[in-house]
Amino acid sequence: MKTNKLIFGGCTLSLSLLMAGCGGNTASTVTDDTTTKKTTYSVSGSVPGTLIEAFCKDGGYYSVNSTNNGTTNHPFKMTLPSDVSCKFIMTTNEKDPDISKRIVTPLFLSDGSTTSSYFQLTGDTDLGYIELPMSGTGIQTPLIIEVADARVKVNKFEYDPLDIDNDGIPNVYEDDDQDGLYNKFDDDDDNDGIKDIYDDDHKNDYDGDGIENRYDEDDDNDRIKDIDDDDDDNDGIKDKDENNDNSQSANIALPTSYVVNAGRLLGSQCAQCHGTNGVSVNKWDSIAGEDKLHEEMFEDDEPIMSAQARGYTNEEISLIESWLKTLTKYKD
Amino acid sequence: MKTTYSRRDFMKFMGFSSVAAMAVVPTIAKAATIPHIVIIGGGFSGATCAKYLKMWGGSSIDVTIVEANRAYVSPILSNLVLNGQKSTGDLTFSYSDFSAKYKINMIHSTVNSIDKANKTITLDNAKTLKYDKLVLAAGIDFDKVSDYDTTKVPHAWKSRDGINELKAQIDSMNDADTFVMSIPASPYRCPPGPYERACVVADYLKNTKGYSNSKVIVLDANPKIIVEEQTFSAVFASYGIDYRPNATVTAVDDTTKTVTFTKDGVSNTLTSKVLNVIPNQKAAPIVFKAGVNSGNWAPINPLSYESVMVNDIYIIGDSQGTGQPKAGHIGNSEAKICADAILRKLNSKALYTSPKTNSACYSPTSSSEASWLTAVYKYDPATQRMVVASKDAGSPSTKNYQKMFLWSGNLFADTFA
Repeated sequence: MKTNKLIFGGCTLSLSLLMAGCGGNTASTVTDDTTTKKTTYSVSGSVPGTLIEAFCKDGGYYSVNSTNNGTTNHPFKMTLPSDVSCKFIMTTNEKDPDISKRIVTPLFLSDGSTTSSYFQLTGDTDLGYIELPMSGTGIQTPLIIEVADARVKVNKFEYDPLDIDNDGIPNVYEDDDQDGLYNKFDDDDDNDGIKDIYDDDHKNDYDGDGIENRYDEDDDNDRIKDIDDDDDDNDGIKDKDENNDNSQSANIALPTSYVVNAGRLLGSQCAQCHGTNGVSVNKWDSIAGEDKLHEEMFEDDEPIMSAQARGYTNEEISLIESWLKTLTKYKD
Repeated sequence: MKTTYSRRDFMKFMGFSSVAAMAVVPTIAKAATIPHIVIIGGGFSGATCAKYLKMWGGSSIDVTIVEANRAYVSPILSNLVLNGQKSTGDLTFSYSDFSAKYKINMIHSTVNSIDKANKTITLDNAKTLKYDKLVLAAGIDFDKVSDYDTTKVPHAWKSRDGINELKAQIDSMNDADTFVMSIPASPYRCPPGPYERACVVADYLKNTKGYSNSKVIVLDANPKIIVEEQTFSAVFASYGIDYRPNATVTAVDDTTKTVTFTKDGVSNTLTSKVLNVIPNQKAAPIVFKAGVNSGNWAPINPLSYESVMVNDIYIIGDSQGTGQPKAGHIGNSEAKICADAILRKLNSKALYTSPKTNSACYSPTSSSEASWLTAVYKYDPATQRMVVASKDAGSPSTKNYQKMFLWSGNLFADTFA
């Protein structure tokens, strides 16, 4: 399913590509071939000459280089999904071949009440000039910037899988084996001589983005979510031909807010036997899309079902049915 | 080549904000903007609660499961490990795909303490975790019978630990050897489970091993068979199981496999080849640590599963103290009511006032037949309790044995996939 390679617009490759492919300040909705809609917004600003990287809580990774416009304030612009929280790492001196001389600054945002590395976009925004440090080397203490724009939601999480020791420095910019190479650039994180991808006792993290494959929706950081990617580890061998398949479980769409639904609550009690959201994993009936629930529940060929059915009022059965009807009918 | 950051610098920076980069000095967060729900325990009730919280609440909440084990071994169907029809591997569920799919944080750790005033828990690595809502889904603990080695006399009631050991011991039996098991006083985890086990073991010795002289003796602390009485008394009779009600275990000798018990006020002993004592049960230790127990179990409001003793702590599954049975299927059921109630609470919506839960269980009675038991529970506003709305049971048959795997297949998937 390589057709939706442009699901993230290729916007992360370079600024010129970004400008060409993703210009405009309005929210763009891209549709993939499973008709899932994804809303994205742009975040812009200016910095000293900088590599801007965004790490998102679902494993998404985006990066862009600022544009040298001849001044000391180089503009950048990046497009990020709206349904997930992301964090910025900004690197000045980013072209220094000596990685240790690059100046890496984690960014924290504050909205006046909450300070966190994570933000979520609810509209296009401009962060203005970000005064990154230009001297020193290596990882800097995080820089906190104030954001007064309501389109930037600052989200704080008690547990951060991208920064498991909660020191403000993402896992990828830690140096687990203290060999002077951040995990991100280190293909042998525990320095046992076995490259990470072949190393059983190393965390399985094919793309080295600090997110274990099992939490990572995009194992090879090719910006194609694994579910849409037929070669998750980017080794050129299609997943289906690969014995050591590390393809991920199906991603499902999660809502952004809770909506009260009594029919769904009652109907969720059918799932123990008929499957989550009415889709059975075996030959027992799927009930998603069911529109004759009163009759179905009282069919007397299955006494365990009849025993259950007697425990519900007609009104409750109607509520469950009205919810089941909203679900796509599952074809057995 | 060393990098130059220091964690202390960062903490200092966050604490004093003395080098704030922008004109306005940022204020440090007082509270998380995204509510954090921490679930202790990743069994049937805990995993279901996490999954449904995220399925219904999505990115408006953050959910973390704290679970000591990397994978879950289901006690449901585990009696089939004893007759070799299943292995514990068949009943093992990994959390990795599950947590990635629903964006649930997994922390594999145990919990040392709960600070109710500050709403934090401390993990065994001394890290603290802040919660807005805390769900205790930690299962059961056992009453102590006497000092003995539970690897020699396994209860095999928390799965993996003992079930393979018990299987090995049963396989070492010869014809004419005796298997003695005890059933705890109600309430305990999985009411039909011990009766089911007696049937499966008797069938295995008689029909698989071909032993005609082996004996199965059941010591039941209860005055009679507490579930599916007709079914189990008929099957016990067919196998010649020696069933002794009102028999309470008081001591165990793990070397001689001798059990001491009182029956009708008289103390007796029995010596066996294999001894399987399932002790009396109570809520998990964390429930007692949190101080949300009343006696052996945790009293809750059945509309939400929130403790009636401490706000923002919820108890689901085997530790909760309603009259509902303690088992995986209904743990899954309670978890959905709890997940929805937490989301209503966080969104300032009224609780749903007439929740329904259900229990169902297929019990193997041999290597080819199973019986079933089911009930629907409804909320009774007068007593503020869950009461039976309907129930029924079905006799052992080969059809029911096949349906047992359809039931468990969907239950496992609704919980762990």
